[in-house]
Amino acid sequence: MMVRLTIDGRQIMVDGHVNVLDAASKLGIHIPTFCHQARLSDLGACRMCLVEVEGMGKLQTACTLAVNDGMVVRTDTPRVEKARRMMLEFLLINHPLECTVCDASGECTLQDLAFKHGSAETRFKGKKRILRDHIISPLIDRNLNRCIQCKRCVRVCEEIQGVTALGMSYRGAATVVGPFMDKSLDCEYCSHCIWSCPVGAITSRAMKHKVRTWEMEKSEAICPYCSCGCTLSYNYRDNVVYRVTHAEGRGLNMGSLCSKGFFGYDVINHPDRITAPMVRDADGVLRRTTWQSALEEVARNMKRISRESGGKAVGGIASDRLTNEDLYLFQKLMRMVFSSNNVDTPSGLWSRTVVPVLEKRMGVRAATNSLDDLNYTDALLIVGCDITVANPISGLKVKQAIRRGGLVTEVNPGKTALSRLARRSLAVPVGKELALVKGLIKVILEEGLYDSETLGKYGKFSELEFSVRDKSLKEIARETDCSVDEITQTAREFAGAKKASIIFGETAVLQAGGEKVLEAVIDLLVLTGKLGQEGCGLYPILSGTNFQGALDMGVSPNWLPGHAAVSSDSERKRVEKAWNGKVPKDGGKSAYEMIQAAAAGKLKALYLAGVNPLATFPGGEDLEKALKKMEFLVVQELFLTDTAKLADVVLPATSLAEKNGTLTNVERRVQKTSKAIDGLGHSLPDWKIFSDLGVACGEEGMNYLNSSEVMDEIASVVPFYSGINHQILADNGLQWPFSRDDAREVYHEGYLGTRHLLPEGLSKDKQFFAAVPVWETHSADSKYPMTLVLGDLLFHSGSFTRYSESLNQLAAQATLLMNPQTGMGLDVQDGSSVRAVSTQGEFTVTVSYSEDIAPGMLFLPRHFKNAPVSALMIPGPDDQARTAIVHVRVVKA
Amino acid sequence: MMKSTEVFSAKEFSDMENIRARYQEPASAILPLLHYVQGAQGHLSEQALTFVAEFIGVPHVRTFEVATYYTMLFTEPVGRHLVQVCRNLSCHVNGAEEVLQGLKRELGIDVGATTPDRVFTLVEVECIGACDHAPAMMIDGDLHRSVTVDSVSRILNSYREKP
Ligand code: SF4
Ligand code: SF4
Ligand code: SF4
Ligand code: FES
Ligand code: FES
Repeated sequence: MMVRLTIDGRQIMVDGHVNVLDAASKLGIHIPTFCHQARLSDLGACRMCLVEVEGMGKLQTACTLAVNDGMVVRTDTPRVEKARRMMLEFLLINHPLECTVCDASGECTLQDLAFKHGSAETRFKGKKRILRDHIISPLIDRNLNRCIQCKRCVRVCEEIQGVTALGMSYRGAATVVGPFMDKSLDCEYCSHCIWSCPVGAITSRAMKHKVRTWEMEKSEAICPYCSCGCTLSYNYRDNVVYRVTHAEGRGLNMGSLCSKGFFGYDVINHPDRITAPMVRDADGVLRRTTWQSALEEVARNMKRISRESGGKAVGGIASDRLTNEDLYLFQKLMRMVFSSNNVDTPSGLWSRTVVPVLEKRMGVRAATNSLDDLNYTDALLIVGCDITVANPISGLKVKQAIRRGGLVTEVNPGKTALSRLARRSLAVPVGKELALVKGLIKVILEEGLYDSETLGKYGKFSELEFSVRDKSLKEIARETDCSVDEITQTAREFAGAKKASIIFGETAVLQAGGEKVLEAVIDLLVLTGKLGQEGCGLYPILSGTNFQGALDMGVSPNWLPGHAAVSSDSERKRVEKAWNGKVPKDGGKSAYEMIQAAAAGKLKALYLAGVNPLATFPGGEDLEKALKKMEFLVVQELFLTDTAKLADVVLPATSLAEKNGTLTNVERRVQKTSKAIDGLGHSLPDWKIFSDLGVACGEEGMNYLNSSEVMDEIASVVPFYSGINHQILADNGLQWPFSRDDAREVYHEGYLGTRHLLPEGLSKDKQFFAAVPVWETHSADSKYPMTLVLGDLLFHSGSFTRYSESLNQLAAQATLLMNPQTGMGLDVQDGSSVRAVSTQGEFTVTVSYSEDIAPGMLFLPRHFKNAPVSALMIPGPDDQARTAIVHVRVVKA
Repeated sequence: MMKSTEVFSAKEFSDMENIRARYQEPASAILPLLHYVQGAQGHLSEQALTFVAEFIGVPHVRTFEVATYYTMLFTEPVGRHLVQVCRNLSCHVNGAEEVLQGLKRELGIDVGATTPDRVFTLVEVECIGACDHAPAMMIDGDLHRSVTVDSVSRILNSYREKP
């Protein structure tokens, strides 16, 4: 219902559900506030927003007052002005006037409002309240005396982050904001409380007393740390990024960030950045040199080896952290200039496992729906994915759904940050996820909860029924460590929900036989008709920032840009025509195969862009041996990593803050990221290095003026990127497929592109069930009986963030997590040292007991030097690779 | 999740279960539960607060908020007898200040502190509803009205031997 009201003599029609504050802001009338914040519940605590309402004796708080038809409001009377001055005077009784040393100075609401409405004099003569305070965290600073008790930090921590680490304790003038028992903060370090605090009571210690807020310029960019693709704002001065701030209301994250996005910026101006090219001299020492000589060295050797030993003897692996422009030029360089299809990225294994199944079953090669849908989901099934770690802001959307009453069921080998909030959290042993999903299918079939339209199309479900016949629900429950009731309820909720989706991740799919889990998941979606509409779909979630872009750009041994098969003559021709150059005919090698070939002496030159195999690839010592054997190794990097130390040439690249380009997130959203500062020293953006190198090889087709030109070429080669250019992305992301003259192009809440794939449902040839006959993906081997889950931590993203001193303060060491029950069974104590042994190798690590991990399962974070998981992981070939789940034996060290 | 036996006796735990069962929403039992534990254990330890929070499914910080808000709940161990002196208006004008000074002198401690023998803890409170006989104070559950500096010592002595 719309209502009409008058504010300061001006009339406005607004929705009857809004409050006076919002109505006023629609008229451009600014009412000062402290405790109000968009997205938070209304509290009405600070009384800064008082207004006069005709017919109401007392002044009213605009932030909590619902509009009424015919209401007459005044915000500009002497009485209102006097009230504002009084409220400020009250606050300033206790607020210390230390703007001179306060990091919030310049962006403090109290400072601004006191300047505007306050009085320079106080009538209060007593002593200011002084509260005992202490440091509550290495990264988050609290200053109790500056606190104005607006409770924004407390509310944001509970309502948005779902953590509730902060509370208001004690009472009256002694009220303080702080953690449980006023101890140190033990939380997700999402930074929301820093963002929310209107004064300088909660600030970032990472930038404490380093720079004044008004000295910095701001520029928006995309976060480099995961595939969610959040918009953030770099704040910089003199070519130094001093902090990241939240871009209020912007991006798919609406400004929200996670610990990595907010605190991880200190890698940018890290003192260890390499800032000049280096070439190994005759004495075997890496020496700084000019770009020209470094590029000539690379061009000469790569061309020579490619000429002498053939394109198959050279290869390249690029990080999925690079931009689309970087990645596109990388594979173009490798294919066209060095005649090799040996191109891959570390996320290639995921793409080769997941994408073929998506393609076969649904004809798609990415998530079908938008992350935004997650906010409104009624039922969500999460299989083998800790969404709060893999994609923290997507996790936030799931938390919002839960607050709205959405029913979330997790199927993970342990508890996650979501477990406390979710409807249920099923700790299913790795390998048994399949049984659980089939159990859900069984309930749906038996209770007739399937989608009638699907039934109409398929006639009957006999194959599917047959595949779930040989086990009773009781047996399924026993095998999955769940109860029959939990399985039944989950199935009913999922089938009965209007909007229901499934998220799955690495733990489910990157295990032996993991594609079967995916097949069963798709069967479940099809059976319940939860596809092809808003709120119903499938989200494959890998955390690598631009893993989708890397696939789209053809950084793959078998796929050209646009997911075109290398083996297809017509596709190759099409790309060759666009490039005016040659694309080799034979498929190339995956990263694993390249390392194998290197070990066998068949691959002689390797180009690594932004990857540090020694820290992240499986293979342990064998890997190191293979790399050392290379005749020519180029490493393009930000830091002199262990791998870079082995290189013949090291090329200094820039971070994402120092370049323009685009990234494609986990929901197919192509977003522009913009340069904040100039490249440090002589470092150059990756695309520029590839371009210069192509030119140094005498290839004019590799000459580009800027990354925008590269995008124009991408748009002409990748069909579903057609029409995309940097201008169109200036303000908004865009979800592919997109084409300017495509009728499906929709403009929705500021976003362009296709929000939901499969609007017409599955095509005729896809209308079948996989009806997976088996019940488990794999079973334990008696020699290696424990299942080790290798995963990420909330506070780190690959090995890259290990350069962030801030994030290292939150997590610097890896420990092997195990349930106390498992520990007792193995006779290993909490804190003791054990050897973890897989078929591949072993290492020693400290044990931490944790109730969060299911009995019989182990968890170890990757990317920590003290636990080089590379030694345990089994590198490949693809179908045998074990990079997320490894079977091990644990023995006392 | 914490085990009840780490903090509570079997009897305490079963009492707590009964209290919780009185409410449709377990979270609603927060105050009665904390009040019960205060009575049973003399204060609300970190473990007790953690347990109660998990027992009724609220974030840990919630029990801490409630425990620190109410003057009759304590997060630190208190003496065997709790002396609560009213400082509000009626008592104030009728000599609460002198009474308080007398108590401090007699006990040898400051407001908020506990005597070394752990017999008394002295705290200030706001109006306890005995304005007609100000100045007033409460010791444990007993109300003492029209207290004078001279009566302080006698009143305290009557508690020294009490359990
Ligand atoms: S950083 Fe996030 S989780 Fe931690 S206290 Fe602040 S809002 Fe809560
Ligand atoms: S710390 Fe800041 S946000 Fe939190 S209550 Fe105090 S002033 Fe408000
Ligand atoms: S969720 Fe991902 S993209 Fe967003 S701030 Fe965190 S790491 Fe960056
Ligand atoms: S903003 Fe309205 S009461 Fe605080
Ligand atoms: S003022 Fe002391 S009892 Fe009321």
